[in-house]
Amino acid sequence: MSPSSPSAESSLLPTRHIALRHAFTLTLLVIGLWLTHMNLRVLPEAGVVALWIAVTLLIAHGGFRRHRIRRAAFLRGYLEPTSQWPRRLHGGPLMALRHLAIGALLGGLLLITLARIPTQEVWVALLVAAFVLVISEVLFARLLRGHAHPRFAPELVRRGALRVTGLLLTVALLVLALQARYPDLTGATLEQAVWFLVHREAARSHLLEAGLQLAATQDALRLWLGQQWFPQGVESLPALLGWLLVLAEQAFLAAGFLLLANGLLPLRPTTDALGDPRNAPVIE
Amino acid sequence: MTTLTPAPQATAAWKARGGVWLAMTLLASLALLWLASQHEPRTWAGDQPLTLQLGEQRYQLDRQRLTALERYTLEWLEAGDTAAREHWQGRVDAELDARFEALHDRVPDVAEWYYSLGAEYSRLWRRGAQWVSESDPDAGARMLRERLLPEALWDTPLQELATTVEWGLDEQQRQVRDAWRLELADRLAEARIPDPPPRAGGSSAVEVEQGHALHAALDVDLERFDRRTGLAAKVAAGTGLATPLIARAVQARLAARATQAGLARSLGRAGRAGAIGAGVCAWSGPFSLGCGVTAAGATIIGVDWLLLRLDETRHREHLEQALHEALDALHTETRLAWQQAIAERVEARHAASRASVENTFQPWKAGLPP
Repeated sequence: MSPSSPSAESSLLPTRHIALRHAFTLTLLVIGLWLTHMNLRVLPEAGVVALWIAVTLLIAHGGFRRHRIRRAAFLRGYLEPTSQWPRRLHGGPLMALRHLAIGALLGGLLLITLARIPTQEVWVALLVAAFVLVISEVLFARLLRGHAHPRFAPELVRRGALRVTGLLLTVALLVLALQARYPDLTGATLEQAVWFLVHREAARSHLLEAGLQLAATQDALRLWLGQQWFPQGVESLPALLGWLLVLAEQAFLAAGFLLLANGLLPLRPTTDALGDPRNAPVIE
Repeated sequence: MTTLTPAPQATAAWKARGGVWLAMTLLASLALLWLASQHEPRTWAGDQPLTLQLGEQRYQLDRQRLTALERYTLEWLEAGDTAAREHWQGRVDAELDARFEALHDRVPDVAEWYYSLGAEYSRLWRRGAQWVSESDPDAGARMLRERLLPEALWDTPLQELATTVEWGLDEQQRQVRDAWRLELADRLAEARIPDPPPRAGGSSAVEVEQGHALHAALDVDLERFDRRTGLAAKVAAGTGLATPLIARAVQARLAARATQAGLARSLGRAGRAGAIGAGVCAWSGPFSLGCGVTAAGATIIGVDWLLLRLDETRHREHLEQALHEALDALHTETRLAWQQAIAERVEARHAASRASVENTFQPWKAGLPP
């Protein structure tokens, strides 16, 4: 059965429809993040906490869901289905707590990074990354159809799509960060550099303000070190690698955004798994 | 006519729905990109701490602390300037007391001079000149003043004292402000922040302006103050009171001895003495004129001397008392003038400092951007 046959085309239509719906959802997510970026510094404490909780729950939800699938694959591979351990180890409160902690950490970092996004090009990058995520998911789903286990394929597809998109988004953000303009900290002491960047950060929410100032502190440390080590900017490969190391924090924005998208988008089944003999219990 | 089978119908519906999702996605994306290019994120100024500069150091403080510092500074200046004023007023009092004690000691000498023939004829000469031309009616009192308050004992020391006080006041007030700066720097030590990076740029004329405002607050008043009238000039104007005070006191004490009649009496004395001289020298023939003039002159001088001794016997005590009273009055007036001049000078600088300090710690009150 070729993909171009009428029956194949009709079977792809719902898939495309789902992909477009996901693209729209992710566009709305980017718009939401932009609105958050625009107003985050003037949000009251309660608003910031509510946002943090929402982001934490979304990231934790996505992570927990995928982790349970990976755990199921592990248990299925190593344990007998008749054993009581697959039921006990399938993922419960402890796993949820772990993902809540990761979600809280990444969510907090995401909010701080959102408030400090310096250039408008980042929004283009996030929007394109959203589309890349959807498209790569479609492509991975198509590639894995007939190869991956139908029950675990959605997680595999999402993982692949997230890794590819994450890599591309991180590279894009790094390129933007390399092109951005930074204050000239040469000739200044580290104390001067830290104060200079920290005292610019202000927010209505004390919690957010503390976070922004912490981020500014490590920003100052990185930029100061970068400008001490490579005062001429990117003029050689070692300098480029050094600056990439200095600007590696861009990965946090990419990771936060993609994990948020992961929590927002449902895992898509590759095929109808009903009646698939591979889903039958394994009887040796 | 062909009809769509259910499968193509479903396909068309899926395509339509897909088109709608695609259009909405594109529309939302374009809207986002357009909005992102048009708007800047909202910033929060809130109760951000203010950056102030004192000397070479920068400090970051909240408004409450700045308000307290302003109050503390005003109290410090008030106390320091009051202490400076009291110190120099006390010192001037002591100097004036010593100066007037020395002047009081001169009164007997002045009275001695007053009842001398030289002084008498000098007064006569001046009265004669007063008749001929419009001269100073207080010439007698002026002579007494010059004798009682010679320049070397009165004007010059007072000018020197004025210069000393002026310099001392300025120096003490400057010390008050320097001590305040040190104290303030000590109090602000934990609020110190480093200077901005030399080449970072961007942080601002406003911040620098605010910082310099505090630093300059207590120096600006010096410029304003230096344009004011000096203490010496004010005090010199006050010493002009000496002549009228002496004249008033002497006139009040010696009213009975009407000076207006003095010249007429002197002329009468001269006429009578001339007649006596002519009688005595009538025998001398061709030398009678010279003899008469000499005899008349000797008689006039002798009579005047006798009259002066008589006058001295009767009025010297009154004159000395009048001179003491004039010196006391002058002491009081001079002291008041000095006290006032010192108070004005201290207050002028204090007011200038206060005006500079007020709102310097609280730029938001003066309408400056925080």
